[in-house]
Amino acid sequence: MGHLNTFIPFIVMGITSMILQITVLRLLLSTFSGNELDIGITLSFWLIYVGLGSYVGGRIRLRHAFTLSFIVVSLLAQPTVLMIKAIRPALSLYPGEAVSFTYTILSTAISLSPLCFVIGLQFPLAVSYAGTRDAAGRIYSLEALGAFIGGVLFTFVISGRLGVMELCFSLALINIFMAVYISRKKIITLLIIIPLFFYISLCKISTSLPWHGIEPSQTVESRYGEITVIQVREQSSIYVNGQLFFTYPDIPSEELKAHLSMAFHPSPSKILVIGGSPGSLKEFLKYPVDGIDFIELNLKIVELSSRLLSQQEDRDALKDRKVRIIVEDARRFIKRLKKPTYDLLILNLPQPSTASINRFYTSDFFREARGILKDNGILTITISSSTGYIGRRMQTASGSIYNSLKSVFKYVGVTAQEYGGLFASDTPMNTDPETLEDRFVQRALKTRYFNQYIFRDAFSPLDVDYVRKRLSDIKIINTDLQPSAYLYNLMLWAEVHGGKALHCLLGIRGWHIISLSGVIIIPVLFLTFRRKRRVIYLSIFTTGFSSMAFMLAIILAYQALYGYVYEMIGMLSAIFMIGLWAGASLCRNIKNALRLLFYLELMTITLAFTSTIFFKSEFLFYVFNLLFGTIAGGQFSTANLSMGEPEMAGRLYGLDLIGSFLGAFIPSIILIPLFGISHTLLFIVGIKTISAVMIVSLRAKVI
Amino acid sequence: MAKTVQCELCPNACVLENGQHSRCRARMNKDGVLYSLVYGKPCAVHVDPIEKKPFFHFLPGTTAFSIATAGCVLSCKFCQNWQISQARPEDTDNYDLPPDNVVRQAIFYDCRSITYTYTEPTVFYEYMYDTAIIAKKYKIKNTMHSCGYIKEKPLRKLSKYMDAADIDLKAFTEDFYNRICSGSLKPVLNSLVVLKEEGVWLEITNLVIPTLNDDMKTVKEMCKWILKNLGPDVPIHFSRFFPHYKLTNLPPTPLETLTETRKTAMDAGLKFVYIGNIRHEGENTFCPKCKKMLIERIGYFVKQNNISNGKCRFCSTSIPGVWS
Repeated sequence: MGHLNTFIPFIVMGITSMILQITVLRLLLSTFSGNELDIGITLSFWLIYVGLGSYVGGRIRLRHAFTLSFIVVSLLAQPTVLMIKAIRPALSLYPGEAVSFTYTILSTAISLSPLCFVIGLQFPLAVSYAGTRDAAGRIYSLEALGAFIGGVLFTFVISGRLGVMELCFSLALINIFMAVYISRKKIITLLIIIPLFFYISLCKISTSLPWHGIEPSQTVESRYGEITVIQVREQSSIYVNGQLFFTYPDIPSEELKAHLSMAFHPSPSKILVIGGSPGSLKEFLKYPVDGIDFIELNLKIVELSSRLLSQQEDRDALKDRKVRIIVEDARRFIKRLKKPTYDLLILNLPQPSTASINRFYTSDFFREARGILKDNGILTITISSSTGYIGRRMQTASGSIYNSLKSVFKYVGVTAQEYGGLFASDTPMNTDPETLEDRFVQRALKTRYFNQYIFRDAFSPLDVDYVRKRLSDIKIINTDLQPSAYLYNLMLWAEVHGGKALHCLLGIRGWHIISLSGVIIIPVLFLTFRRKRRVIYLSIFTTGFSSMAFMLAIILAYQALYGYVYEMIGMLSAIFMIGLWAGASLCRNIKNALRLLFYLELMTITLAFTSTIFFKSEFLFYVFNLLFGTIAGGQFSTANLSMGEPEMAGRLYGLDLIGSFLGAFIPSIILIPLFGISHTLLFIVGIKTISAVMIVSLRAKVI
Repeated sequence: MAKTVQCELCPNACVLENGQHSRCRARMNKDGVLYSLVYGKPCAVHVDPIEKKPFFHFLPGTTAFSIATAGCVLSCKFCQNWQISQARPEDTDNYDLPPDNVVRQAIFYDCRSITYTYTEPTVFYEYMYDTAIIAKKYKIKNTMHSCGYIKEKPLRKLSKYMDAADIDLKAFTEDFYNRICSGSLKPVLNSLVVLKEEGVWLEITNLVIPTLNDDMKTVKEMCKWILKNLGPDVPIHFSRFFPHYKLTNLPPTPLETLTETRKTAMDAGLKFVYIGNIRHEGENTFCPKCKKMLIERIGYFVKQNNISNGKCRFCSTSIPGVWS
């Protein structure tokens, strides 16, 4: 066996599994319209299948099993991708129709099973291939290193450059070569025909498959998600992760957006438009303005939409001296600006049905926005529109945005429900339809669809009154770390799709969690008190749970604050993995393992308590993630050492896995969406305190 | 098993065990008697321009007292009123508004008509029927916006009191009704013919949804059917789809599609073809003979009306509709 043999296959294992994990995560995210809840669901199933695979792998006594595992991985990558892309047509969903909660879980569970199971098989097969008993630790480290490399590669090299089908094809080739390398059987190379066949035959259908047979005119990978352009006649619609962002040209909507907002202000001269179609720019230019800043965080969308501009006046607007296109995250831009600059700030984004969009509907954002508005400046927002009646779910979803605005601005107005408009200012705004109508007529603007009569309809006193009353009933505030509007949009989603499961989950209250935890914890305390082995089991279980819960809290907090998890998830996972590895290696030769385990528990608690400090900057996020990974890795190692019985390692691994599964599943579907990130971190503090106290109960006896 | 009942109101013809709710959610079998759960309990009550319903040949420029209760006989994936149409009456916040009160309110708000709309009025048939009788006594007209998914017998009975109906002809294929609405086309076509026979003023609305029902060949077939069975005078409104309910991510209808649909319908021989939900020349009424503009509309507002005594002011051609 050559020297390279001792590490290359294991690193490749790590690289392959990390890249595949990120790929399926992103694919599933776009299948489920960008809903971040699925990150936790995907990770939990990933873990459980890998665990199962690893359990089965430990019992396989086939001669070439390790070689075979590379071949199977290489053959499964493309079909898995295809399976995920086929979820929407298989559920006979139309483009844009969202997947129900139950089907989200079921289809994630089914599509991941074969690939993840085989990936899980690989670890024990690698250990038996290496032949020595102490190889496990070394392979674990190499795999973690591979995962780190994979995460970095994905983020900085692959993301935005390589399509999914090309990526999976390349991974398939690498794994086939790995199989050849290990087994020294060149004949295996012939297997390349299969991925090549898949690549050639499926590349084309894989893009149109999720769109019910409609051929997207363009598909582009970006930092923030997969962008798809669907063309119907002359009209293009831009989707990010399957969610409709805007349609161009759509002059009636462009005009409505611009002129309705502009009418509120007696003399708007500096305007900031966040997101949406560049088609609305020409409408703003019809006013005697000083400047229009159009901000969009996704460079790819800006590039794509400027290429799509079919109307001359839109192309001219883009070149106008008064127009400035800014490619930056609007929140960061506004935070940096600080001083009052704008008369009008128009938020032109879809409804906050994902955490990444919700960050523009929170009171934190509204406060920042208020800071850059001039004295009589106005912020306008679009909420879900309806006709006839605002249902209770929509009332809560829109009401929480309305109330968040009211918590920041002195005056908040509404339009009739068909228009779904909210506008806020610190000076009173005149919304009398006649005044607005007169103002619009006096400005003598040329419009094609917008007309002065719209004000009578949009501000009909009876209708405005109805909306205001309906929204005023809601007293919830949407914040960054407690994203309630996002939650209520999920509820709205549940109502649209009639799923019972999500309804039940959303009915869970804080006292349910506290009393259920009590019921579970009290017997656990009795069973583990002063029993060393059980205390260690508990500690390892809670480590698994808290490390995954932590990871998810970080991912979602990152999304809530910065909004591009889609790009950075690879980096976040990679750093966590390297932390795990570092922690495990650092704690390999420790004398008083139990004492260290106790200290590590304390460190987890401290870290969870102080986490909000780390949420202050992007860099600290990675530091936090690394620290937490290291502590978690240290805990696995010290728990194993404290046990003092190597044969128990399998059982500890199993408990860790169950903990991790629950730690990914429960926080992602219950704790984080319902109670927010801060409360989830408190929950971790609670769990870890119990396991720390239980270690203390041993100290009198053992230490 | 004696307590099983069958509802005879709509083509769903629900057979209900004791305690079971109908598919429309608005009716229930209690001990062998079928009850309406929404009688006198509307959840949507508004004063709207009649043009919003849309009625273009029925008392233009007047307002309609509009009511709806929860529930619907169909379940269209694009429903813009899904929050009430797909809800159970106990899940909506309802007003207490018995029929006589509806009429009283309509008079108070100076409405010339009452419209049963937003959801499917068939589900609150008894409420609508009783209200219509009282309204007629007070010279208030009755109109409804319906999907026409109702059985012939109750429809004929209702027609005695109904002055106008706007029927959604959602598409012209059984496949569309089946897949997108969970219903069927045939009963709707039958209702259109029945309303015409009963002398109820009829207008048709067709929501044009990209990729789902925007095939011009089918639109042409539909218009030919209308021409043959209902005549050329029936106004038809092609309205623009906006993403709603389960199809929130489907693009809105391109304008060219709407103008082409309008042209197809006019070429087929229909005289009054309108485009809804958007400002366009197709919002206005033109005289079929002298081609002059009769009613100029902007949005839901009537800017000028050149119809007097039901005739074109320029060439005296009779314009079908209810004008006073």
